[in-house]
Amino acid sequence: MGWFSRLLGRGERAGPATRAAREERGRNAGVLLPDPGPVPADAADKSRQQALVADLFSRMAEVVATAQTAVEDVDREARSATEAIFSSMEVVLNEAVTRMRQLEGTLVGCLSLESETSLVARVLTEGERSGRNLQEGLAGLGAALRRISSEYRELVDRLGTERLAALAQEIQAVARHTALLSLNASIEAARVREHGRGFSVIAAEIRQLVEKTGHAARAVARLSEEMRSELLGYASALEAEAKGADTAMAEAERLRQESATALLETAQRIDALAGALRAGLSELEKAVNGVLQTLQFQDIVGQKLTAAAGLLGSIRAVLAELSAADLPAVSEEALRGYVARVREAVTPHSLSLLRPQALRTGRVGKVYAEFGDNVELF
Amino acid sequence: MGKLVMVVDDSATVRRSLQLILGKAGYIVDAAANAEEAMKKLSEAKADLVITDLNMPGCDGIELTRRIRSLPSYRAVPILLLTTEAQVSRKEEGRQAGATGWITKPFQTEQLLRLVERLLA
Repeated sequence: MGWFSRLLGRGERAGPATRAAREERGRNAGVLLPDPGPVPADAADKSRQQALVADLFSRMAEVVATAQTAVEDVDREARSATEAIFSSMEVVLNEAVTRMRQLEGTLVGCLSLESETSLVARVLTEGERSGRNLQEGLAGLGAALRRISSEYRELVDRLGTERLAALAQEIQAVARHTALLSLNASIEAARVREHGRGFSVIAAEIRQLVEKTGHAARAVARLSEEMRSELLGYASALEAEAKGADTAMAEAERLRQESATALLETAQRIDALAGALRAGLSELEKAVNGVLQTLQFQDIVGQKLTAAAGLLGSIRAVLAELSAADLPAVSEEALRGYVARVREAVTPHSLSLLRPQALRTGRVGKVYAEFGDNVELF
Repeated sequence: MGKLVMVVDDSATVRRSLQLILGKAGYIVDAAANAEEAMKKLSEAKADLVITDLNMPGCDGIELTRRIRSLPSYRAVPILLLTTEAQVSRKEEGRQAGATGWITKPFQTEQLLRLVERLLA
């Protein structure tokens, strides 16, 4: 068996020890090096065959070069596009972040307002309590005034100014009667002349006493009337005050209800605004996160293209050298070197970069469910 | 004052994305495009967390992890490898080099933030 056949792996004696390594090598050889067909029998056929192989290598190198150029173009375009996208996205994101910060600022303001609303609610509660205290106070004052007024009326009755007036009239009647008696006594005293002189003095004194009693009785009657009038007037004033307290109480209640309604409506509007801002902020954050994840995919694609271009470049270089070489003159050792270069290019590292993401398996560290299965902590 | 996170990635897209995500979350973020730049910055200012790419030209993320761990002040600082790769052998290399964790792209923003919060707790 010649070097060429052995080079391609057919009948190769010094093979690797493991099955996996054999499969890996076979896979690489099968993909990268074409089967040249049966080994030629005579020298002319061998020469033609070698020329064909050289031509084949040359064409393969051209194809690989085309593929490499295409991949490099795509890679370059992809990177350029990624950069352009990122620049555009960055503008959008910066704008979004600015807007988000503004929204956050507004939200913080709203939250602060919410706090203030809470404060307002507390003030409102306190105000309501104070208002109710005021109402209760006013109601108490009104009741007290009415009670005092009633008590004053009772006092007027209890003091009996009417009875005093009646007493005064009675005193006056007694006085008139006494005056009449005094007059009769004076007539009788004159009739008995000398013997009745002393009686006449008494009668005069009685008459004076009657006049004084009459004056006192009238004074009592006037005082009684004045006192009654004063007390009734005072009671009326108290009633008026009680009515004023009722009016103030009704006004306080009306103002309390109006302010409470206005404050609660404001609080509801603030709460609705804060909710809308929160929802908007959340949506904006989702959009930003979506863009950032898309950029990661762009980066992954770029890495894959770079790996593919590197792989193709390595193969192309080997194929180009082989196609240009005088194959029969190339030593077997040199050819093995070419194959080694091709195999070195197809490393597990470069292959792993080209594998689909779904193939990522195998764990070393502990996977924390809270972070997802693509995170491991050692 | 916010905690300093050093992002090392040769991809400007990834660096800027991480700066945006972590910066918005309140972290101070510095970035380097390669291991040399990262080592220089890490020696100038003590980072609280390092997030590094795996595949970078020159010194890769695993070697960078070894270099960072050799610095006395970075023996306990969490180092997170952020990469598209998920080979067990590479993860094992990362673990032996002293990495704290491994996160495979693509990741969710919220996921990364939770992880960073955990590592910096």
